Amino acid sequence: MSARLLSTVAALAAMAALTACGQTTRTTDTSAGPVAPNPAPIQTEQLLGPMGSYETYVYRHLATLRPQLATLQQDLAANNASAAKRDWQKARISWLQIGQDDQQYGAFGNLGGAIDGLAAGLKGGAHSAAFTGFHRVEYDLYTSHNLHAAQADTAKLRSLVSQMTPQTVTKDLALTPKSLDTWVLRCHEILEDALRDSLSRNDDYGSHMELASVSADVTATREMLSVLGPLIQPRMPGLLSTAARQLRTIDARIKAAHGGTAARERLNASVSAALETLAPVSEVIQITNANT
Amino acid sequence: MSDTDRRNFLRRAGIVGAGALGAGALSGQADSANLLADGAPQNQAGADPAATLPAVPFHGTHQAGILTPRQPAGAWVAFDVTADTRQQLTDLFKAITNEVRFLTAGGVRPDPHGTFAPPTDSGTLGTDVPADGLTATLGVGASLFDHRFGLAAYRPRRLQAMTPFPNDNLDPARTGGDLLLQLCAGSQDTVLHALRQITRVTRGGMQIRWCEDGFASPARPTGVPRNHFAFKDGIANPLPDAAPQLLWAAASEPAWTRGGTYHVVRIIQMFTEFWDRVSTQEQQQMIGRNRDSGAPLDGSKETDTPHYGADPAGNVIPLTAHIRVANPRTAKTEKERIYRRGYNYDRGVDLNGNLDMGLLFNAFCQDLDRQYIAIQNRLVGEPMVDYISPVGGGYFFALPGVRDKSDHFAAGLLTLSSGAR
Repeated sequence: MSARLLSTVAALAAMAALTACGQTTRTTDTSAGPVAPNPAPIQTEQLLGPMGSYETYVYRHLATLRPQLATLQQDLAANNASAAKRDWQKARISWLQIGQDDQQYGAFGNLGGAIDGLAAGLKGGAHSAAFTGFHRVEYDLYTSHNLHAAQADTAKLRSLVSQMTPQTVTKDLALTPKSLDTWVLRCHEILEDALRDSLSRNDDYGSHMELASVSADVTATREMLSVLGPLIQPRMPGLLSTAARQLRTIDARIKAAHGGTAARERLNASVSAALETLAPVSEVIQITNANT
Repeated sequence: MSDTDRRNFLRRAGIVGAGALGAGALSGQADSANLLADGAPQNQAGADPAATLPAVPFHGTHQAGILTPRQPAGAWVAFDVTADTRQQLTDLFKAITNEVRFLTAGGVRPDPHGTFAPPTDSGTLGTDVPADGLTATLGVGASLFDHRFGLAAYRPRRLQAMTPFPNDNLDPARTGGDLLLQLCAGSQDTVLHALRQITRVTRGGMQIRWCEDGFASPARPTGVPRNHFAFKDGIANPLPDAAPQLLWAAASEPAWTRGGTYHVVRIIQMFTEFWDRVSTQEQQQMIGRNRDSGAPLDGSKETDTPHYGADPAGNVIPLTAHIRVANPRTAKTEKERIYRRGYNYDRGVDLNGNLDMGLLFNAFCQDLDRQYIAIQNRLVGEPMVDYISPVGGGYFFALPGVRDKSDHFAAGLLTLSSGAR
């Protein structure tokens, strides 16, 4: 046996020993690669540019959303339930693409919760007056079939969305190190929410549009990775390409997910795999001593 | 019993070296020596799988299963009463009492009809039923005090239906109930045998509303057992000598409640996949303890007391950390402390393919409003809520103990006249 082969055998044996000692072996598809050695610490200033880009993205979607809600209001005034459902879904997707869902993680504060909260934590549940926003209108349209209520609740929703001005958005996306770190969490939290609440139908009030919701969540996740990409790339060189591939897999499996249990399992698996890849981002892109 | 056995049982019960329940806590009136194991712990490698725990005395001022060290296996079963009259309700409580009296003592069940009828015992524990440390702790929910049985005037003052906290996702089918039976024992087959026998002798009188199994993990490697988030859970329980102030029904409650206590059950799903995607540092900031040792982040071992006064800005233990919000350790919050007796649960897989695991939060306290509800209101919005979802449970009043052979569950309540106080 040649010396070279011997050293290869030794290396393989060492790898085997490592594995036996608890070295993690993952499904190939979830490998995002290692963190680059000694990644440069992140300074607050480095996140200001990405945050500015994200804010622009938010305003662009709000500009799309507002006329969609006006159309929904007209549908309801015309007592047209099927048009109202169609236009509610369009508006819903515009909102989800912003990257806020079900008031998780406190994005956009109490206003975000009023626009997109669930009934679950409220005394009286769906009958509570505090149950407002997208899901309230969804409940009116798809569960209680009460177009009259939907009209009033849509007016309320429009009023809430109109409060999403640069002033209020900037307040909730404050540029302190702590809140910037919280914002970076969205790289994985938007998709965590898709898995936890949308794919489980935990946030469904009758529209059954979880596949379209997950698709919107993927769009929002892409936006986060795009604006943070320049910071991620040198620190985790393998992550962006792996994540991009995995998000494309989710897209493809959403299209195929109407085919029953096996197709749904494949979709769940692809979302879970992407989440494993995204988990380290918020640790790597973290402002030092931000806990103040 | 040898010291080793005693220690093993205590460890298995999660109380060695912790500020949790001391030996003096054992079952109020019980002779504590009787509680300790005669067999090796089931979870210990090489243990005799047939070993069972000794009997826990059933009769006493207080029910067992409250200050009793955690047995390894448990089930929480809520029932809706289907009896129509006060007499039928009384018969129901008598039937439960008699069955529990037999099961907690163990023995060979008489079969008076011989081969002419189905056997009186399911036989899943063999003919000679072992007590195996079984405790059956019975509580009543607020709904029992409605119009049906003329009990409205006697409802314990703090007893109420569980309404959702803001981060809750309570499923009505897994929330509330007229009665709650907590069954705990040395192993799961003992628990399930008891459940089968008790439901068998009470058919027609009550129906199961929801049922959750739980298990107490062994110490890993020492001290208080860990929950599914890997953190040691239940470290800061009050000592049993505080029970008159923190546990047993207060003098301001109706007289029949003496010796009873409020029982809180919360079925808290824990998103373990998501949790496993969080760094240890972040996990510790959320909880306020070191994941490995269980020590508060300003200490070195799990029994250390956190010193929040020395860390007013939360630089070491964040102001939002679970242990800091739940128990700020101030003079004012001292009277809020509760007796936790939690179990882990595992109930398969969720609709989205995630594991359905969690904590069977299980606690006892003297005053629901002053203690549990005050603590939980403070915990609303804590960082950990993203990783958990309370999906069910209920508030109950664990009845006074059954004093002797002539007594039965709720006797003091059911003999009160309808309508009068």
